[in-house]
Amino acid sequence: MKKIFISIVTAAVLLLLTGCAKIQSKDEFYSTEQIESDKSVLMSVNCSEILENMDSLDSGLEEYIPEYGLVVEDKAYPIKDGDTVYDLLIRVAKENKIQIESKGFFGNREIEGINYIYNSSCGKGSRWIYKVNGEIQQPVCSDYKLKDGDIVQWIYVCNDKRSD
Amino acid sequence: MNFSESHPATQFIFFSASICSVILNRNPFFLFFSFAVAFIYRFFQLKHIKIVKELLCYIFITILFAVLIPLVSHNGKTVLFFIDDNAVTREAIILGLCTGLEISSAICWFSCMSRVMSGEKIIYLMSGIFPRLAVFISGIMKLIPLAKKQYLNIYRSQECIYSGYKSLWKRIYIVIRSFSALITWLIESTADSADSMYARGYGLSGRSSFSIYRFRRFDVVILAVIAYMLPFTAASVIYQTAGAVFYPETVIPLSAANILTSLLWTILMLIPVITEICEEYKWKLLRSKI
Repeated sequence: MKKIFISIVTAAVLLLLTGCAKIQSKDEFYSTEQIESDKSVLMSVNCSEILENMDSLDSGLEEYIPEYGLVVEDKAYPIKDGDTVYDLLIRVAKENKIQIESKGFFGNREIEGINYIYNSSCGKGSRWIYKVNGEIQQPVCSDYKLKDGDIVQWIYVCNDKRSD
Repeated sequence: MNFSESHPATQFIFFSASICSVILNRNPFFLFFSFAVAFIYRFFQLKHIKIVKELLCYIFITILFAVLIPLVSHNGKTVLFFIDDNAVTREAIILGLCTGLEISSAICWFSCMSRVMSGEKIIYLMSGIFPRLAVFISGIMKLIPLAKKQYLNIYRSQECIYSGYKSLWKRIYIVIRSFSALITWLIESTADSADSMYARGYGLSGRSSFSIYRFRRFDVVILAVIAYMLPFTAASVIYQTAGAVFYPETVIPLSAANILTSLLWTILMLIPVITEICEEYKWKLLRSKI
C-alpha cells in the first residue's frame, strides 16, 4: 500500500516537472520570427585560432571547423530592447541552424560549445570567450545588455591561462 | 580445481583485470560481451530465479542513464527534438546506453567478486602487503559489533537503575551515562587486547601465522593466461582501437584487431565459469561410478 502511494506521488511529481518543460520539434524550434527594429549590433563567431593548433584538436572534429574558422560571419543583426548577448547568440544560431550548448539557469548562462566545438576541445586552455566593443567580458553572457551599435565578437582561444 | 578455491591473489588479479578493462574501454561491443560474461558467472553463483530480478535492475540502470544523459549533454549531430531550447540528440541517447551498460557491467563484476572474495581473503592479502593495516582492520571489524552489543547491555542496565522515570530529560541522561560507560569499556578492552597481543609476540620480526591458502599449479596457469592476454588488450586500449567516438557523430571502430582482442578477453573472463562447469561435471562423473 505504502509502495503504491509513493510510486503514484513520484509519478505525479515527474509529470508536473515535464509538463513545465517546453518541448518543441525540430521545425518549430528553427522557425524564428523576423524582428523589425532600427537597432542593430555587429556580431561574429570566429574559431580561426584552431586552424593554427589543429594537432591538439579532439579527433572527429576536423570536419566541423568552417572555412577560415568563421562560424557566423561578421554582419549586422537587429536586436530588441533588453536583449542580452546570450539572447542574440541564440537567435542568430536558430536562424543559421548552428548547435549551441549552454549551461546555467535563468540569469547566469555560460556558453559551453558552439557548432560542436566545446571548451577544452583543443587542448587544456581552450574555451569560447566574447568581446564587446573590444573588451573581454566575463564568461557569463546573460548579464550584458546590448545597446545599438555594439560590436560583439565570439572568439575561440586555445591557450587561455584563466581556465583551470 | 575450482576458481573459488584458488589463491586469493589470483582471484584479486583476475577481478581487478576484468573491472579495469570494463572501466577503461568505451567500445559498446566489448562492454556487452563483458556484461554477458559477468551475468553468466552471476547465474552460476546464484542458480536461482532471483537472477531475473537482478537483470531487471541492470536494465533499469541502463535505461536510467539513457534518459538522464541526453537531458544533461546536448552535443550530437542528429537532433530529435528540443526541450527548453536544448537539443536532445540520438548520439546522446547512444552514449547514455553505453554508459549505462558500462556501469551495470562494473556492478555485476563487483557482485561476482564480493561472492568469491570474503573479508577473510582480503585481510589475508593485505597482511602480506600492509601487515599493520590488516591487524588494524581486523581489530575494527571485531570491535564494532561487539561495541553495539555492549552498548545495549549497558543501556538496559542503566534503564533498570532509573526505572519509573518517564520524562525525556531522564532518557537523555541515561543515554549520556551509558555512552560514557561504553567509552570507558572500549578503552579498557582495547588496552587489554593490546597487552595480550604484545605478550603473544605480535609485530616481532620472524613471527609466522597460519593461512589455509596455498599457491597451486592452477593459479600459475591462470596468471600465465592473464599475463599473456594483457599486452594485447593494453595495446588496443592505448592505441584507441577499442575506444569509440560518440560526439558529434558516433563512430564505433570494428577493426579486426578490435574483434580479436575482445574475443580473447571474453574467453579469458570465462575462466571461472569454465572451471566451475568442469568441476561439476567431474563430480557428477565420480559420483555416478559409486
